[in-house]
Amino acid sequence: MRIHFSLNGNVVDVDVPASTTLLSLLRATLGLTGSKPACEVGECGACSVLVDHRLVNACLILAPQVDGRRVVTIEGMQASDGSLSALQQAILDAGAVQCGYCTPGIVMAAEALLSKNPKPTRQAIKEAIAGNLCRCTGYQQIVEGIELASRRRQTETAHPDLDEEVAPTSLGSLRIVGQPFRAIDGEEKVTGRARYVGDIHLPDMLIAKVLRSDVPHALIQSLDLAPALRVPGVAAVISADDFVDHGNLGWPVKDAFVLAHQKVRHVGDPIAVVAAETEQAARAGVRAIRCDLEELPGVFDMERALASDAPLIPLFPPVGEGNLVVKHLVRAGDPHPVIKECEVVFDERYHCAHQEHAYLETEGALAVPDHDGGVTVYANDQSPFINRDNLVMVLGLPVDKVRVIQAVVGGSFGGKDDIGYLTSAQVAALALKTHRPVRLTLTREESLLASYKREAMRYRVVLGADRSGELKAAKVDILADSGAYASMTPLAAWRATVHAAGAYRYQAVHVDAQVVYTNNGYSGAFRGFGNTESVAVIEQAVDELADRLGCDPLDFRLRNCLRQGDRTMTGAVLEQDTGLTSCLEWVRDHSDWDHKRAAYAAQGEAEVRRGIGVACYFHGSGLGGEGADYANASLNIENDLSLTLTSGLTDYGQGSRTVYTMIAAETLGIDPGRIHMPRPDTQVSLESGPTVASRATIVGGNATRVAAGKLNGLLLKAAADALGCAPAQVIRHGEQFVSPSENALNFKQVVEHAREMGLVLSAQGRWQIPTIEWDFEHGTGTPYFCYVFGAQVAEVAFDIRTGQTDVLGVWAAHDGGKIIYPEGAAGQMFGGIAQGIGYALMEDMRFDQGYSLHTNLDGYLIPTVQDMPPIEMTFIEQPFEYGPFGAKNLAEPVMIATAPALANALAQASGVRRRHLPLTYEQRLLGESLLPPGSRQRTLQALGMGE
Amino acid sequence: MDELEYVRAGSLVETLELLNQPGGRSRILAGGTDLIRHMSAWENQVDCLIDVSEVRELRQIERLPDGAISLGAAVTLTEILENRMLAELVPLLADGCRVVGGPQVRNQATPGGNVANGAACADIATVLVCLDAIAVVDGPDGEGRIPIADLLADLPGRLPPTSVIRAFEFMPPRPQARTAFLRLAPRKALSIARVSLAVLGSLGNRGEIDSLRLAWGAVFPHPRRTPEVEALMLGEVPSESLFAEAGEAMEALFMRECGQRWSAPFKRRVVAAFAERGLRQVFGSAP
Repeated sequence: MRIHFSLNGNVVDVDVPASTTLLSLLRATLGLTGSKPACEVGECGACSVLVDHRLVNACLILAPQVDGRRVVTIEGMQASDGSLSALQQAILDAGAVQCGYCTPGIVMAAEALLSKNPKPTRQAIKEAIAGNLCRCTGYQQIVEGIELASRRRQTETAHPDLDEEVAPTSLGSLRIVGQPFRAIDGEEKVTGRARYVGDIHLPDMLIAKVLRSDVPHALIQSLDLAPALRVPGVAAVISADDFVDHGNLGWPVKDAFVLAHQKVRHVGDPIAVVAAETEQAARAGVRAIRCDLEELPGVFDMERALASDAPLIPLFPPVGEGNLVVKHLVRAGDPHPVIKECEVVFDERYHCAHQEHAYLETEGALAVPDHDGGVTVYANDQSPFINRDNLVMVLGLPVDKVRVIQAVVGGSFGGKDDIGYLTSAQVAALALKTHRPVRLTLTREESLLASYKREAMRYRVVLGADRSGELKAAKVDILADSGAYASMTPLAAWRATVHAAGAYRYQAVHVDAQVVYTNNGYSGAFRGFGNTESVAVIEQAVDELADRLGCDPLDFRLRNCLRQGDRTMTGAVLEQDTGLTSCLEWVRDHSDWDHKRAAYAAQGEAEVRRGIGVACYFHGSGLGGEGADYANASLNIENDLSLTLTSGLTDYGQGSRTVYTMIAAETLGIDPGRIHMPRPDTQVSLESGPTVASRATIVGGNATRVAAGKLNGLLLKAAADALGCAPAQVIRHGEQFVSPSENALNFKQVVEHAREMGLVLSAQGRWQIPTIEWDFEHGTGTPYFCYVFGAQVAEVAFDIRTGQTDVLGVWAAHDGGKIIYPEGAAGQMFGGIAQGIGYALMEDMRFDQGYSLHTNLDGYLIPTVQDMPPIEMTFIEQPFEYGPFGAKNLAEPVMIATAPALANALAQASGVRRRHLPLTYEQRLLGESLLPPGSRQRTLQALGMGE
Repeated sequence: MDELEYVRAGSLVETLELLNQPGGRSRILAGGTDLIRHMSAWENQVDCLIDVSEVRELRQIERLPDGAISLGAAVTLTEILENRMLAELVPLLADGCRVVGGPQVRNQATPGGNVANGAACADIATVLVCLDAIAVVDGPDGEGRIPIADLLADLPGRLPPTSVIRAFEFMPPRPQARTAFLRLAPRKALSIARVSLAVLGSLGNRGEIDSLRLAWGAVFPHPRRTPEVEALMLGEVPSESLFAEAGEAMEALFMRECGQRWSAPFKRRVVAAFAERGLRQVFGSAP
C-alpha cells in the first residue's frame, strides 16, 4: 500500500506491503541502516526510533502505522551541518561507545528523554534506557554520557574540549597514554553511519538462508538440493559436497564441517545453504530441500558421554576413546600425602552452566567474487587471518585468491571465531558458484541455536588446610561439555586446568580435566576462557573452607594469596609484585567489608537479608602454552602527512584500535588525529595470530610501539640531519623537532627532509611474548609468562521467601599495569561486571534433550541498566616491564570475579550454599533447576519448522 | 496468498463495519507489540488489520456521571502513566503499567491488547481484575458489558473476531481503601512476571477487613481473583497470624489447582509470601 510520512524532516512517499515492519522499510527499502536489527521481537531497543516524538521499536510497528506521522531515526539526529548533536558528542566523550551496535538506539532513547525532561535524575535516565540492551558497557558510561549531555544543554556548550569536565591530571611524561581520549570509531557509531555486515547492500547481491538440523543427533540419509533450485528466485544451493574434503575444519581438533557431513550433531547444525534474489525466495528454497535424517540416540549428560555404551558423536574419536575430546592435567608435587596429614579436608562438587555471548549483532558474512576466480569476504569475525586460512583450505584456492576484510563487529567476547569461519565459507562458496555477491546474516533465533556457548563444567574440589587457616594442597577434577564439536573447548579447558586451584600458595596441586562431546549445542571460547569457571568454583570453595575454619574469607585470602616470590599452583615463581594484596585491601576498604560482614552475620530473622562476598583471581596473560604469541603492526606516512597504522588484530568493540592509535601517537610525538587505522584486511595487514585471550594490548600494543619506535628513529635521523645535530640531541616539543641551538622544524619539514634524504617513511613492528614451555603430557612447566590479578566484592539483598535478589553494590580492583585508554579500560570493567552478574544470576542457557530452553533475548535474559548496581572500581597500576608503557591485560579477567563474589554474598545472606551457576530464582530458593516444558516446540518454531 | 490489508479506522462505527464485512478475516491492531512480534503465527489467517489507534471512542480516559472511570481500550500505557486523574484516583493502575516492557513498548501497548492477548501473566489485566472492571465490548449486536473476570476466563469465546473492546469501566477505590502491587520477575526491566499480585482492601469501623480483592497474574491459566482466600479474611481484624493464614490458604489453593505444573515447587512459596505481604502492605503491620 501507498504511505507517506515525514522522515527526518523529509517527506517520504512509498509503496510497501502492509506487513512490512518500519524497521524493514527503513533498512531495506530506504537504505537507512542506522536502526539495527538485533532481536526483532521488541526486546532490545537497538531499532529504536521516534514516531511523533515517542520512542518505539521499529521492529514492532508496521510501515502503514506511521502513515501521516513524523518519524525520526538516528540519521536525523545530527545538526544540519552534519556535526554531532550535543547528545551524541556527550555519549562519545563519556566513553560510552564500544561495539556501537546498541548505540543508535541508546541515542534515540536518550533524545526522547531529554526532549521532555532536560534535567533528568539518574533514576529517570535508567528508566528511559531500560528498554535498550547493551552487552559491552555495563551501561555506566552510557548513563554518565546522558548526564553529561544534560549538563551541557544547560550551559549550552555543545562541543567543548574533552577534558573540560575531567579533573586536571598531573602532567607526567606521557601526553596521550593514560589521558582522556575518544574512541577513534566513536563518531561513526553514534551517528549510525558505521556499516556492519548486515548494513552492506551491494548491487546484484543475493541473500543466503540456511537449512538447519531440527534434531540433536542424526544420520543424513539423503540430501536432495534440486527442488530448491526450482524455486523461483533461487540462484544456488550448497552442501558439504561443495567443499574440499567436505569442508572439514577445526583447530585444535579437526572435527567440524562447513556444512554437516554424514551426520548432524546438534540442533541448529547447518546442513545446506540457499542463495536467492530475496530473503523470501531463500526461505522458500530452504523449505524445498529434501533432507532425510535418521535420528540417533543423543548424549545430553557429560558423565553419560564417557560411558562405554554411549552413542558416538564425532565421526572419529579424536583420542581413540569414544566421546573424549582431550584430557589435561597439572602435576605440581603430590597432594595426596599432604591432604592425608591435613587437619581440615574440604571436598565438594560444583556446576557451571553454559553461557551465551549475546552480542547485540548476530553473526554474518558477505562474499564478493573477483573477476579472476578469487573471493573477498567481509566478516564480523574475530580473527580474519585464521578465517582466510580456513577459506583457502575448504575452497581449495591459493592464498592470493582469498581476501578477508574485517567488517565493523557488533560485539564478540570470544564468540565470533569458529562460527564466523562457517558463515564465511558458506557465502564464499555461493559467491564463487553464482559469480554474485552473497550475504548471510543470522537471525537472533539462529544465532542462539547455532552459535557456540561458554562450555558447561563440573568440578570436584578437594582442599587441605590446617586449623590455623593455611592452605596446604588442592586436588581438582574437571569435566567440560564441549557439545557437538571441540571448537576452542580443549584450550579453554586447559586454561581452566592451569588456574583451577586459584591464586593461592600450595605445597602440592593435582588437576585433571576431561573434555567430552555431547549433543548439547556446541561450546567454545567466551570471555575468561575456562578461568571464568575455575575462578567461579575455587572462589566458592575457598570461601566455604574459610567458613568451616571460622576465618573471615577476606583474611583467609590475604593469608594464602600469591605474593611476589611465591610459587603458583603450577610451580612457577612469581618474580614481579602481584598487586593481589593491594587489590584485596582496596576492595576491603572501599566496600566497608569488615563492618558489613560482621553486621550481616548477626542480622537475625528478617525475610530480606543482606550478604557480602569476595572473590579474587589470577589470570595468565596471552595464549601461554597454547602456542606462539606474537603480533605485527605497520605504520606508513602518507603524502598528505597522515599516517596509516595497521594491525592484524581486530577491534570488535573493545577499543584496541584506539589503544594502538594512542600508543603510536605517543611514541611518535604526533597529533593522534593524523593516524588512520583501517580494520584488518588480510591483503594489507600483517598476520598477527588470533584476537583472543585479552592479548591485544600487550602483544599488539608492543608491536605498534616497535613500529612507531622505528619510524620515530627515521624522523629523528632526518631532523638531526636538517638541524645539524645528533639524533639524540633533538628535543621534541609537540610535533616540533628542536635542536640544541633552539632551531625548530615542524612535522611536515622533517618528513619532507627525510624524503629528500631517500628515507622510506614506513616501518613494521613485531613483538612476541617470551617463550615459555608447558608439557601437556606430564602437566608440568610454565603455562604463562605473566599473570594479572584482581579482586571484587559484591553485596546483595536476598529475600528468603521469594528468592528475589538485589545486587546492592560491586567493588572491583584490578592490577592492569599502566592503563593506556582509561575510558576503554573502565568500559571493560563495567561491561565485564555486567556479564558476571548475568552469568551469576539470570543467564539460563540450558538444553532439554538437546533443545535450548530459549530462542531469543526475551527468554535468554541479559542484564538491563536497571539490574546494574553502583560500581566502585580502581586499577592498581603496578607497571609491568614487558607491556607497552607498562600495560597489562584486562578484558577477560575483569569479569571473572563477579559471579563467585555474588555467590559468596548470597551464601552469607541465605545461609545456604547452592554450588550451581547460574543462581536462578529456583536455584536460590530451592537449590534445584526446574525444567520448563516446550523447548523442542519453541525451537522448531524459531527454525520456521513449527508444528 | 493475498497481500495483507491495513486500514486505520476513524471511528467505532467504521471499525465495526470493517470487522463485520462478510467473509472478512480481520483483526484489531492496537499497539501491536504482541500482535506484530507473532505475525508469522497469524499472517495466513488474517486478511486485514484494523488499526484502532485513532478511534476516538477507544482513546478516552473519563469520569462517568456515577463516579466510575472509563479507560479507553486503545489508550497507551504511557498515556495512562501520564494521566493525572488516574495517578490520583487509581495508583494501582500505574503500578501495573510501569512494569510492562521498556519505554518503547509502553509507548505502544494498550490495556485492550493486554487483555485480548490473553496471557496468564498480563500485568494490566491483573490490575483490571483487581479493580473489578467491566469490559465494554462492541459487536454486530451492539454493546455488551462483560465482567473482566468472565472475559478472561473465556477467551476468545467472549471476544469474537467481529467485536472490539471499547473501554474498561471501574469504580476507583474508595478513599479509605488501600492498594498494593507485588511482582516477581527475573530481571528488573523488560521482563515478564513470574508471579504478580494486585490487592485492594479496606477496613470497617471496628478495624475489621470489610472489603478485599486479591488478583493474581502468572499464577492461574489467566489472571483471576481468589475469592476462597478473600472470604477467609473478610470480617477479621488484621493480624500477623491472619496474614500467615492467608499465605497458607493461597499456597494450598495454588497446589490444588496448579500443583502439577513444572514451576509449582517454586511458585507455591512465592504465592504464600505474596498473599501474606500483600495483605500486610494494605492493612499495615498489625499488632
